[in-house]
Formats: sequence, structure tokens, C-alpha cells
Amino acid sequence: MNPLAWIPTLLFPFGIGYFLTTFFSSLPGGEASGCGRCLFRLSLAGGLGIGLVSALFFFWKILVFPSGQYFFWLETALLLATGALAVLYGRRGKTGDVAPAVSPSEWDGVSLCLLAALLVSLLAVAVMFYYFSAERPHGGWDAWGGWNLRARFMLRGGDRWTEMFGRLSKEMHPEYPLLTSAFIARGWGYVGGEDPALPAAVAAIFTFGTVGLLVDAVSFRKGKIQGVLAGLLLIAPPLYVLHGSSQYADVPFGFFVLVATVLAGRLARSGEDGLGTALLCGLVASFAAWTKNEGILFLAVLAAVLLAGVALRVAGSRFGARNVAYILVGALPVLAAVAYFKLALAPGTELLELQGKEQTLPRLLDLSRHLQILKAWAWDMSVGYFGPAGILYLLLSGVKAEGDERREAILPLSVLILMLSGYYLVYAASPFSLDWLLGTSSSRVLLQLWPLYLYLVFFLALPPVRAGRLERVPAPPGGEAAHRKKRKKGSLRH
Amino acid sequence: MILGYRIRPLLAAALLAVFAVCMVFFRFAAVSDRHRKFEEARGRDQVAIVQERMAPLAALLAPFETVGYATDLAEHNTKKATWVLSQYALAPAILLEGWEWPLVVEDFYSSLPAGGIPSGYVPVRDTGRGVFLLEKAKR
Repeated sequence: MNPLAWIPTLLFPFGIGYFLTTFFSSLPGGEASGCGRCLFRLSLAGGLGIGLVSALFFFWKILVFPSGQYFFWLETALLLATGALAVLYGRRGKTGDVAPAVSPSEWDGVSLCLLAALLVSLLAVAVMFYYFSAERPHGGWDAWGGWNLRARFMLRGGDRWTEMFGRLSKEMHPEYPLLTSAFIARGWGYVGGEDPALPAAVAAIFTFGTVGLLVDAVSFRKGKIQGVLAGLLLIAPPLYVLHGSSQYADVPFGFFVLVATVLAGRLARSGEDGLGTALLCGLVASFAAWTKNEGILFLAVLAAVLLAGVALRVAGSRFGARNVAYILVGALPVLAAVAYFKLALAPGTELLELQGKEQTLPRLLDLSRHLQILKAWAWDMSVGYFGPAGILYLLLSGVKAEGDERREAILPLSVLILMLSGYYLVYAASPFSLDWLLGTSSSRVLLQLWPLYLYLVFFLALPPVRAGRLERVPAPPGGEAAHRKKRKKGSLRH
Repeated sequence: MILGYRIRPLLAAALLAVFAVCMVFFRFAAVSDRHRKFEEARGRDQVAIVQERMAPLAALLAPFETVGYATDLAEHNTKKATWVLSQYALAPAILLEGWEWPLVVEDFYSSLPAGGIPSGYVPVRDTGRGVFLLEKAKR
């Protein structure tokens, strides 16, 4: 194995993701929705690059070279192209018209103490991540029995790699999407061997990237203290680092769900056409569907919420139809990969195939199954994830969401409720033993929505405001959109 | 009201921060202790163990050749786990549970059963570690 090969393996996708985020943030609406913030770009870059490279590698293997050769040159060209876009357009977009909910105060004593607590805790989590990875270098059951297994087939199968989909046992889930598998296969090809450090590195990128994204997403609207607290509570549950290091796709999926939902919420708030934000939102949402089957449910939920927002103008939503179209455009390229994979390669999903009116209805009407699901979820949410800590925090600090904030919160709240309802229905209708299904997946399924749940908690909570420190910015007359228009015209001076 | 408008959020933040940091470090202590024991015992992960057992067979199987898999393990989850781990080790051959294929990997974790190799099969390769590649005897 060539140690230098790690540079293109991990740094190229990171660079592509970073440049692409910079470019999107330079497009109309990108900067205003916080896409240009340094922490956001750094945290998103790894995951975005991994998703993009993975989808491209899949297309390359399907359409050009089934063995995957020469992909390196395509990736290098993409890195240079996105780099050029970022350099050419990146500076142009820095209009500075961000209107955060709290004034950009300097770090004060309280927030510095909390930041130090977060950094020390992150260090401890990183050490635990290392320990888990050292004890299980190939990850947990689903990693070697699914995600990394398919990566091995993609690498070792050569020109015949697609045969695995029709011939692997269904117990190994050949129908699962390929985001992590394709990326790992490509990386193993670069480093010249199946180094287990690569899937572990991918897992780390998503595990710690989610922390950065959540901290930034909450800080952008609610200030540094809330952002840092959200990050602390995200990593506090033992299951977060355990599942993160297991090399499963649940943490990557939660990463994409968080970003796509937060960006869609910001679009709903601004009321302006946000080309950059909407394209990025669509792209990231499509990666969720390229990561796990649950991503298709997520896309359906997001589409339903967006269309409902446009059609009904729920609670004063100003979500424009044009933004929905931009989101669709952003999602289309990767959705093409998902559609081709699902329609041409992947076998059917047993969870759906084994349904029928005579079998499903009795399962749905069985009260004991519902109680069993609720009991398992209550246990996982309280003992596994300390979910009630978020509720207690809300009760103690108080809830604060008015006007634009309420508009921005409705979208993630709707997505969270609908996703949970979808998962609940899947469990209730599942043809498999509910004991087994809940025991093996319940905590991971809740983990997928854990970052989004925390985003909502800290978005809705009243931030600790101290006199003279964090002052709420008085809403400009006509709302933020009118304020930004005035600033663009130069009628407002700062 | 004792807890005023300004105090409550600050108190909530402080309590939450203390709780979260404590949880991280309680867990850290437990994980560190377990890892130390793992290293002292020179623990190895199960994937490495199975890969080592299956390594001599990997070169004998053609890509995408379907091969049967049988083991003497009785417990359901352990049996499934060793099958999936063996599939991981032998990819890109396809390993399916059962005896319906001309080639079968027989994976013994205890001593060889009294009957030895099942009738109708001849060993193609004995790895010496309890793993056999068997071929259906031609009639």
C-alpha cells in the first residue's frame, strides 16, 4: 500500500466538497442562509465530497469502465473544476448580508467555558472512537455483512461486479444504496489494498462532521452558547460514538438529513429565491437516498412538506415554487443514480415484498405490536440518547420562536414528525419478528434523527441572554428579506 | 419568582453542560478500561479470525462461483455471523447456506463429527484449521 495514495483518497473529496460549498454559497441566497460560514463549509465538505465522488464512481463503473480504472483522472479534473469555480465566484458572493438572529457577539466567559467543555469532550469521544475502531477494525455486523461487503465486491468483482446484486443472499441486503460502499471501493483501489482504516476514516468524517454542522446550524440562529450546548448533547449519549465507529450508514444518513432539512428551513424563512441554498439542499437530500433506503422516505417527506408549504402557505410560509424547482434540479443527478440502481440492479426489498392486505392489516391492528414499538423507542430515546434531557432543557429555559423563527422551525418539525411516523409504520407492518427488528435497528433508526431533534430543541429554546452581551437584533421593518433588498440597493449603510 | 427570566436559561445551560460532560467522561472511563483489558488479552476481532481461517480457500474459488456453506455451530446468531463473515472473507465468490451446490465450505469449530465428511462429498482442500472445501462426488 502506498501511503501517499491517502492524499487523493481523502483530501480530494474534501477539496471537492469544500469548493462546491463555497461556490454554492456564492450564488444568490447562499451567503444569507449561512452556507458560506467557515465551520459549515469545513463540516459539510467531507460528507459532500464523499457523496459526490461515490455517485460519480458508480456512474463511471456502470457507463465507462466497469473495473473503475482511470477514475482518478476524472476526480482530479473535478477537483480542479470546482476549485476554479470557488476561486472565480467565491469572493463575489461575500456580500455580508447575513442577518443572524442574535448579534455576532465576541466569545464571552460563559461561551468560552462551554467551548472548552465541548473540545475536551470531543477529544474524549475521538479517543473512544479510536478504541472502538481498534477493537473492531472492520466495524460492526452491518459493516462487514453489508456496507463493506459490497465495497469488496465492487473492488474484487472487476468487470462483473454488478452480478452481486442478483446473487448475494438477501440477508446481506444487496438492495441497499451504495454511497459508502462505492466510496470505500474507490479508495481501496487508490491505496492498493483493503485497508480497514478507510471505512473507519469515512465513519469519523461523518461522526465529527455532524457535530460541526449541528454546532454551526444552531449558532447561526441562536448564538454560540446554544450551538455549543447542542454539540455537547449530541456526543453525550454512548450510542452516538458506538454506532458512529461501527461504520454503519446511519450517522452519514443523519448528517445528510440534518443539512438538507436545515437548509430547506432557512429557505422557508427567507422568502427569497435562494438558488445556491436550494441547489445545495437538493444535492444533499439526494445523498440521503444514495446512503440508505430510508432516504427515499426522507425525500418523499421533504417533497411533501415543501409542496404543502407552497400550496397551503402554512403558518405564513413564504416558500416559493421556484425554490422547490431548484431543489429538484440539485437532486436530479444523484437521483438518477438512485433510480438506475433501484430499477436496473437492486433486488426488491423484502420489507415491502412480504406485505399484503391479508398479512399487513392484522399486524397493523395488533395493539401489542404498537406497545412494543413505543416501549422500545421510549427506552432507546431515554437511556440510549438522553432525549428527555432536551425536553427538560426546553422546559427550564423556555421556548422562544416567533415570526420568522416559527416559520423556519415548522419545516424541520414536520420532517421529524413525518419521518418518525414513517419508521413507526414500517415497524408496525414489518413481516419480520418485531423483537428481532427492534432489537437490531431501533437505536440506529433513532440515531438518524437525533441531530435533527437536537437542532429543533436548541432552535426553539430561549438562549441564555445576558445584559449587554447577547442582544436580540430588532427585526427590520418589512422583515429580513426587505432588509437585504435595501442593503443590496445601498440604501442602508453600516 | 426565584428563577427569573434571565437566570433560567443560564441555569438550564449550565445543568445541561455538566450533565453532557459527565456522561461523556463516565463512558470514557468504562471504554478505556475495557480497551486496556482487550489489549492485555491481545484480543483480536472476529473478522480477522475468520479471514485467517478462510484464507487458503480464497484462491481456489472463482469470482462469483456459488458455493454452499455449512457449519457445526448450533446457536442461530453465531451460525449466521460465521456464515456472513465467511462470505466477507471469500468475496467475490458467492456463499449460500446449504448443501445444494457442487462445492461446499464446511466450517468446523468443534472436533470433527464422528461421521467425518458427509457421504457423497470428497474433500478438495483441508486447511488444517477445521475448514474444508468439499466437492460433490461424481457418480
